[in-house]
Amino acid sequence: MIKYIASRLILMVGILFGVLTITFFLGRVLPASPTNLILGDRPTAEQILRAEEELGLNKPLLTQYGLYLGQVARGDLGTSLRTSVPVIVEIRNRMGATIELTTLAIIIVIIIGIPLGVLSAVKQNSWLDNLARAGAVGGVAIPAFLLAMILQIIFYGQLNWLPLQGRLDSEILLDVKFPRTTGLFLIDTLMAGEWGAFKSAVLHLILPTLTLAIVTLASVTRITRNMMVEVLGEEYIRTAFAYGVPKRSIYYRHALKATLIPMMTVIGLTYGILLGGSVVVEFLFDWPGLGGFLVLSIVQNDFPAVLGTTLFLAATYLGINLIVDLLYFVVDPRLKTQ
Amino acid sequence: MNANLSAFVAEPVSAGFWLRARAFAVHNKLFVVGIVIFSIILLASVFAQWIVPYAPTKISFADKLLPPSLDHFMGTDKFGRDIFSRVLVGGQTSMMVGAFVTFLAIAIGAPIGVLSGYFGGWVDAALMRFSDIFLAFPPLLLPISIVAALGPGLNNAMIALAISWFPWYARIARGAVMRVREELYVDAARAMGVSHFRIMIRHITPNSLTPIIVQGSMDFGFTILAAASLSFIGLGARPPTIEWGLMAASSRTQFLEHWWTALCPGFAIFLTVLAVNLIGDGLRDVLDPKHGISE
Amino acid sequence: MTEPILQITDLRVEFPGLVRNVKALRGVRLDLHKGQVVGLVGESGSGKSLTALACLGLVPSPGKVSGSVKLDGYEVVGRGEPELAHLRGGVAAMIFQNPMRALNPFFTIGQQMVEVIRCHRPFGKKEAVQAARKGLQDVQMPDPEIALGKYPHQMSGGQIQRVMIALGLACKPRLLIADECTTALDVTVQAQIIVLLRELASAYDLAVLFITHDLSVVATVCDRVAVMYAGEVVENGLVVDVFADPLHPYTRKLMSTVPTLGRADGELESIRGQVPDLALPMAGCTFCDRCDFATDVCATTPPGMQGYRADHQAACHHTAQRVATE
Repeated sequence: MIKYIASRLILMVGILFGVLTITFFLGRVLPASPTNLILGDRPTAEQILRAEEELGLNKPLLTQYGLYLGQVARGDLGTSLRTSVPVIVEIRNRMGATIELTTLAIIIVIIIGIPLGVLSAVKQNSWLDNLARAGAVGGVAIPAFLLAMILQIIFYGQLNWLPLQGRLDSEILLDVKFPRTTGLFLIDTLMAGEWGAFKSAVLHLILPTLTLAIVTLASVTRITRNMMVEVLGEEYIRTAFAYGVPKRSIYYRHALKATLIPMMTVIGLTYGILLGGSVVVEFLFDWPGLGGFLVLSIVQNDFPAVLGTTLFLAATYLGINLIVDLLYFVVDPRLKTQ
Repeated sequence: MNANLSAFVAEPVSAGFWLRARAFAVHNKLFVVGIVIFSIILLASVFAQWIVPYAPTKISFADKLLPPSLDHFMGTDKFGRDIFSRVLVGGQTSMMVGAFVTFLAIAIGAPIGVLSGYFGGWVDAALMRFSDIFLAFPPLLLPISIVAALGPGLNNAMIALAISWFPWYARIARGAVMRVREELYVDAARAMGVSHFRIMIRHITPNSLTPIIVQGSMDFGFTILAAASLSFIGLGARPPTIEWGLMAASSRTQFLEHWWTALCPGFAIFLTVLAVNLIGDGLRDVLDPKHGISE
Repeated sequence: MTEPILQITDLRVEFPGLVRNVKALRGVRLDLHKGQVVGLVGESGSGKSLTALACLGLVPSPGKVSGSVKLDGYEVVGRGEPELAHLRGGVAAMIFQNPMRALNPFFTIGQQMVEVIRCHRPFGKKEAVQAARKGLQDVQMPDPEIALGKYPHQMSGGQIQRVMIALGLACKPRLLIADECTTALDVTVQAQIIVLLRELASAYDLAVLFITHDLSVVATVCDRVAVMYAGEVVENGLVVDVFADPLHPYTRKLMSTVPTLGRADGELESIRGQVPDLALPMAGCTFCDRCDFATDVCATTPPGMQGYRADHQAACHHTAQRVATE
């Protein structure tokens, strides 16, 4: 077992290297954009040369690569060309927003999606099943931005119940001060006892979370249902029936356990997908998280920021996958007792 | 309990083709619905130039931001352009994007997979680890960064998407080749002298075609979604290209009071992706060897 | 004669097909009495496994079951789930073919046995564990205590079959149905399991329905044999009678296809033609196309089971002549 964990870790490191290489490639080797930001339009050849020297772009590629790896190893993801703040600091400041959003979304997805998928499989072809499947097929086809806009039209445009964008009302942002201990506003405002700010944070969270949750819910429900149906077709389920084990027990003890274990992978993957996929939602709702930062940086040609954020998000995704993989060892008896 | 019943019953192949086709259609209504909708959209896209009620680029400030009506089926945008016409033309863009990206991803992925599966050993390990790197990125992230590096534009977006997607096809092709390889050792003993390469070409194609088709049809929809999302955040299609995601993006300043400017192109995306997904699901049900109990 | 433990009368199972329905079982008739070991033979697709499933109400859901199956007097066909659960295991227990997939890989042997035991007997957890341990001892499982804590993937096929038999017995059934339960095992292990089954059957006075396609097993272990073809029972009688003088043309062919050691003459025999398409309606005898003795009446009239000797029946029009000439 230790051997397996070790080999997985080595694999991860290898892939991480690959990811680093790709981001390096995207950043330094492809058509020269890095200099645009500092130089603006129509730079002279001399200006370009000087900028390249400053950014270390005129050194041989391998040296650049080595320097880059060294930097990353030290946790230095470069400095934002736009704000002149180290990228890693920008990431830390914005992490909380993304984490809050995606974590809430995935909690909703787990609480609703998995039971729905399970029930759907248990009562195949019932009205519940058909409804769930219709919803899933539809939810998977709807673009996130369309859903977001629809929600905005209804809940802001027509009903004016919920705010359009952002994390807090602008007045609260200006007037109310509370320490950003965790970066998660729901917790921070509560800890500081700021009820108005808390309420504002909640209201602002609803639409973006709902958007992310609904789109993800569709695919998770679908996958859960399919996995459960597959499990129900297994021979050991037939054995359980053949020996008189009551139906309830078979569904919610035998089949469920066999489904939940592979579901772990799906949830882990989904969480990672949310992290990367929240880009569109953050962009739309002006959400000050990593996704929004990414888009902003791209639009402004802020390359260090783009690469640093990409690297960070990719590494996080890898990390989650690794954790889920290792979790299997704790949960799946077939691996536990090798 | 849905134990695989082919264990009990000999496979009957008794009815004619059309009888089975009709029975199939009845059993898989959604598949048929998907095909019908997709065919309509496809035809509309192909013949868009001829069926548009208005010139999609015709600007008319007098008619700006009109709600849907008999005159303007989907209303007009902020420049007074008929949205329905633009949606029809935008369909061409989306179809092209879907086809091109999927085709490119297969064109890159399949050969890699074939090489990987055929040679095995370190070649296989190296190529698969290489593909794994691309799979290590969360879905939209890699296309976004590639487009960021290449510069925004629909072509770059398509290349970026194809690069992000090829690993799936590499795996499928590899799996197919490996399955054939196992049978090949038996054949090789008998069919001495027949070029392995030839046998592989003749046997891989039927083997890997079906899962690639299934995967491709499902990817077609996601590709369109991804491209539209990229355009929405400004990294994909740029004006004057007419693309559904771009249309939604440019409606951001007005959509709250003029819902049709965003929701109509959005709905077009939804309908297309839905149809494609229904087809993909249906294809999978048909071509998957574990399909049902009958024929 | 006492009441049969298993009484199957005119059992029919139909599966909806894309174009036509598949008639998988077409009027099966079979009786088992206490203490009898009856073999059910036939090729794949003849319906023997399906018959077994029908005995426990386990026919997969798109299938429609009609006719009658009585377990110790209780009718199974058409019965609801909770009552069926009581019958399954409690009156009749089934042992399946593929041991490696028969048990839930996520629970230990002990957990699964205890669960089943407690479904049928009013035991507390401790008593159930004891019963499970004793059950494993009865099937000659080495180290029963350790076995209880193991997961299925840690055991061999033969061991799991022993567990299945123990499970089956733990509910104190009156009928044991063994569906090709030795097919997936090595030959030596096969022999052990078969001997075990035979011993247990006589020890507990069980009726056993032994489903197999292996005639040698039937010859060794069974008292009676029923032969199935295309969804019906075509011959039924004592093993000695049926093997010595098979009445139905199909059975005769079956016997002759088994190669015997020491007889190196001639080619391996096979039955010409193919198993009929079960979706097509069939007038007359199902074996007609492949039968060497077929005449016109065979194609038009289905032969019912006709008794030609004491306790030996076959579904054939022509057997009467043959027997009469003896």
